[in-house]
Amino acid sequence: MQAIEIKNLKKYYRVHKKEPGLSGSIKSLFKRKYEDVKAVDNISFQIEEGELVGFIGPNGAGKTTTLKCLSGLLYPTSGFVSVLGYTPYDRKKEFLKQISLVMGQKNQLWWDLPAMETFILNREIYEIPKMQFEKTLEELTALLEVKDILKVQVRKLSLGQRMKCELIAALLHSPKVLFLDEPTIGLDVVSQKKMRDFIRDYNQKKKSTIILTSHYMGDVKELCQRVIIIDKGRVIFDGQLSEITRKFADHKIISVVFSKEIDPKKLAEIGEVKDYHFPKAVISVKREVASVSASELLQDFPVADLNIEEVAIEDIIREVFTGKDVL
Amino acid sequence: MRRLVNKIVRYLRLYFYLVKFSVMSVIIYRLNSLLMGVTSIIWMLTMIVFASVVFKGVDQIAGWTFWEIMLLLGIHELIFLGTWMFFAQNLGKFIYDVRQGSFDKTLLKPVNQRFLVSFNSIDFTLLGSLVNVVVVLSVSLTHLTINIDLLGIITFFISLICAYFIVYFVYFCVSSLSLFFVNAETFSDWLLEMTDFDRYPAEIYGEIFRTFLFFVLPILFFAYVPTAILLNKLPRYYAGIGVLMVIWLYIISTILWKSGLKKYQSASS
Repeated sequence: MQAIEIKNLKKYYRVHKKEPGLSGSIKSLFKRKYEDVKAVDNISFQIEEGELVGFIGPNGAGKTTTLKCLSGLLYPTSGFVSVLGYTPYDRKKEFLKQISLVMGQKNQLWWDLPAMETFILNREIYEIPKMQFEKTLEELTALLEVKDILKVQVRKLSLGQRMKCELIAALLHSPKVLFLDEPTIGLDVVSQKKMRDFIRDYNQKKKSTIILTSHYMGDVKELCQRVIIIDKGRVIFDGQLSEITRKFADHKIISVVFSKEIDPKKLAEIGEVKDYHFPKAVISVKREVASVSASELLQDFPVADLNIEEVAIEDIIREVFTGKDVL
Repeated sequence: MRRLVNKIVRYLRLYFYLVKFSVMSVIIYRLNSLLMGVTSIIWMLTMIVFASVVFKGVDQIAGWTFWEIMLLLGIHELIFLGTWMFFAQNLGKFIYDVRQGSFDKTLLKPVNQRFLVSFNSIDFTLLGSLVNVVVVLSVSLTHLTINIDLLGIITFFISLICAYFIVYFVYFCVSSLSLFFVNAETFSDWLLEMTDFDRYPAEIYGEIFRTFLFFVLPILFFAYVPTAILLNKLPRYYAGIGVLMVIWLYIISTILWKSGLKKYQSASS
């Protein structure tokens, strides 16, 4: 069953374009120039119940705007949006009780009070029965290892601890759909790992539908099988993570270690030399001739070691976003 | 009926928690609380000194004696004490939140979001100001001879309750403009400046401006109408007009709120 469905969603903003400086400000008082910004431009996709989907794209690609349309914060300019059968921007209470939006850069906890107080307030707001509240809280605090900080003022918590508490606040009502907007931003490597483990476990145990946006490919690689790539408000890829390599990278990488100095010009005849510092070289070759190129290398050069590798997902995504050819 | 009772109980419980958290927040910043009380006393004293200086040269202003004006001033402060304690600062924060995009978290909550925006905290730091309001009102009343019957007292209290509702709806309407214009702080500041016109008797203003302050930007319903009814300076039917004004402003504020939410743009992440 589909949890989320979007058809031809558009969200345009009319923004005032101001020339820089004081003269620009004065001019804008009398004559304003407006421009339509296509934050989301005709995107469509469906997400099944229980799926954990990575939603990636560069800054300003339209990820957060899409999540805001899905959670009902924004009215779309046009298009069809359905989450759990509800139209999000109707903001029906039954709908809001079944979703949660966590933004890594926004705080929903009461800043001057311990996180526990926000949890209690959320219990009242979401009308969570006391027994269920205590059980869920016990479960979440144990999983995220934050039992000992629940009574500490939020402003005194570290970023990692605060983010964990933000997640708890967002999950206390056991939402069926969870929108995670960069939940690991600013976290150290250990905290990122814990957060990822938690999200994976939560998705598996609760069978909740999760859309995750992140700039860390590690998050997406570890958690999501399916990925939607968005750029300039348009979906440019929607499929399995493993398919990204096939679709965008028509090259493979051959890493070679030589036993003797070689002529770099001769090496260029095999493929595009990305790097050569004796004894190591990195060569990019067409996918279909990778094995032929490797055997040529073994025959014509003093090779001590050789590896054929796929281009790293991070590199593919980076190159796709910057509009350059993939390695 | 049972549904309505459940709803009221639910919102009272929610308000109880919000009040509790406000108390807890105030206790953390004790010095700030103390200073807020002092500021209010200074402001009140300034107004009294100003009125005293004016009345050195005259016995009455537009038919109002010194103590009648003190009563008006006391009721004005009483109205605004409640206003600032219960919702004005929350609505100010709402304007800020819309500009910053923090309003998102309120919009995602499955409760009446208008309630949450308006009454999410109580400013207990203003409680100290109640003392000077009570002093000014008590002293004024002891210097005045008020001839009023039971109906007059009821009318006075109706107009006083209406005043709170009218202040709330006017503030709410102005704050809701932030949903359209993103930055509505100027509107809010402008309204705050305009409320000063309610500190003085309406009789000092010209006919057109007075009509404007009664029916367009109904500032005179804040303190002037209740005080003038109490002092028999205004027909009692003005309390009825106040009730109609409450209904009218409720409709306007609801339209503004609902259409504003459709325009809400949030802010970048």
